Amino acid sequence: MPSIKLQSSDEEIFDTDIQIAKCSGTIKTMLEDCGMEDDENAIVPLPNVNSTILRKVLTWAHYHKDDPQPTEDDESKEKRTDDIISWDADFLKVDQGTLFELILAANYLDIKGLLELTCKTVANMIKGKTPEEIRKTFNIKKDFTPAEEEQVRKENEWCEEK
Amino acid sequence: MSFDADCDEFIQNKLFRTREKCAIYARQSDVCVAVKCKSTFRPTAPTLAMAQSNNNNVVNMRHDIWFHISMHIDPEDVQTFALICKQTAGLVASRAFWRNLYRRYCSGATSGWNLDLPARLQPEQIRNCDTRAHRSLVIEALFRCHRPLKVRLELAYNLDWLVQRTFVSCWQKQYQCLWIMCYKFWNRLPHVQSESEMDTSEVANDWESLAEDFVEQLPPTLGNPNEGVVLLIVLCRHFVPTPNQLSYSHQQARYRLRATRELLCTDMRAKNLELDFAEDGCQNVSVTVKYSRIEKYKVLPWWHPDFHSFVK
Repeated sequence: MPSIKLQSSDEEIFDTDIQIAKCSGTIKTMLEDCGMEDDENAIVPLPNVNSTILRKVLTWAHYHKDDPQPTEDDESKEKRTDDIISWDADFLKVDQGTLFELILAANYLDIKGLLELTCKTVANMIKGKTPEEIRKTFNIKKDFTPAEEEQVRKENEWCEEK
Repeated sequence: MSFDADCDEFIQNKLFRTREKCAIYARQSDVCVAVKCKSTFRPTAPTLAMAQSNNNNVVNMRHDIWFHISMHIDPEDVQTFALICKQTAGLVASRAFWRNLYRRYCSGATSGWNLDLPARLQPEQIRNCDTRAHRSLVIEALFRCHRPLKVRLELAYNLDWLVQRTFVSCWQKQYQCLWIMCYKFWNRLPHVQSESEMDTSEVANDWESLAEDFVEQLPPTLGNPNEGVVLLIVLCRHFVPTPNQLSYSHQQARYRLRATRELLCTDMRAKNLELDFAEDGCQNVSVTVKYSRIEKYKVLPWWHPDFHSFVK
């Protein structure tokens, strides 16, 4: 099976099956546009992804290598946040830093499935919590003045369930 | 020839042979061998760029992470998401956010057309309006398409929605043998007026600049003038006049609804409705309106599909 070398930001080389690497739109375009597909020694540099995250991404891509490619219709249909399979749920049992790095890596590598999965996971972490609880979960500082907070609350009162 | 001269010649030769690639060459006497300590720090390069941490370990998440997450927020979680921090509030105020919500929950199968939506909420109609108006229309569309929000409409809003809101106006109309009393409330403070309601009595000296300003102030649509408005519709069999204190124009709005009471009649066959109003900033109730033996009441916020049938 043909393979390709991927180089992470910390210069680790990952010898990867070309079909798995191609689940990334970014890598696929690079391979096709630069004619690197037939060159077994070619190295694809990925300066925005470190080795830890690239390893995770490739693990995910390997598991989902046989998944059908999402169509345009799939993209426009209602996105549910409660349809994460158990393997993916276990895969994303990581610290918050890694989870956010995976979001950035999935976006940079243009892997729609992984981007959706990681964002859904964070969206689920937000569900059912108060803003204060969310800030505590993600260690975020509250930067609203009371007046600004009240303004945002009023603008979005349509969400409130009374 | 001395040892140093030998070295210099060797270095020159090395430079020549390596085509000047090997520009640095150490003499034996210059060499110092030391054990290099391998760092135990795990390289996580993008983390630093992703989330900057200050001394209190408070994380400032990068805008693009919030952006991606915002594209997966369910409609019923929008307020919570907006209230996390200024970044999330900014995202919720963006056109991209509302366009995404509409695409995910309201777009139909045929060129985006959704047969559950009226013409004014179809993609073609909402595309060209300004962001605030676009946002309002998407919210209205969500209440017609997204099940958890539709359920809220089916359950109906209770009178608690009206408490502490500013009274704006009141009008009545007769329908067959029923009187329909409409109360209009909003959640803005009386002194905060919308741009269209601003006082335009300022004297203008430069008429040409005024004309230019006027042209600049004409965007295609100026948001939704009804945003923040909630109507109370009361149906009764007899007419109840509006108290004089509540007969004023929008600009003079100074009463707030302090309390509501829904009381069972003595014969237990009907209900009475009482509304307590107080002047803004004053806790004492100054006006109480009593409706005896009402047929029905309904609270209609601006996003309710029936709102446009009653609003004035």
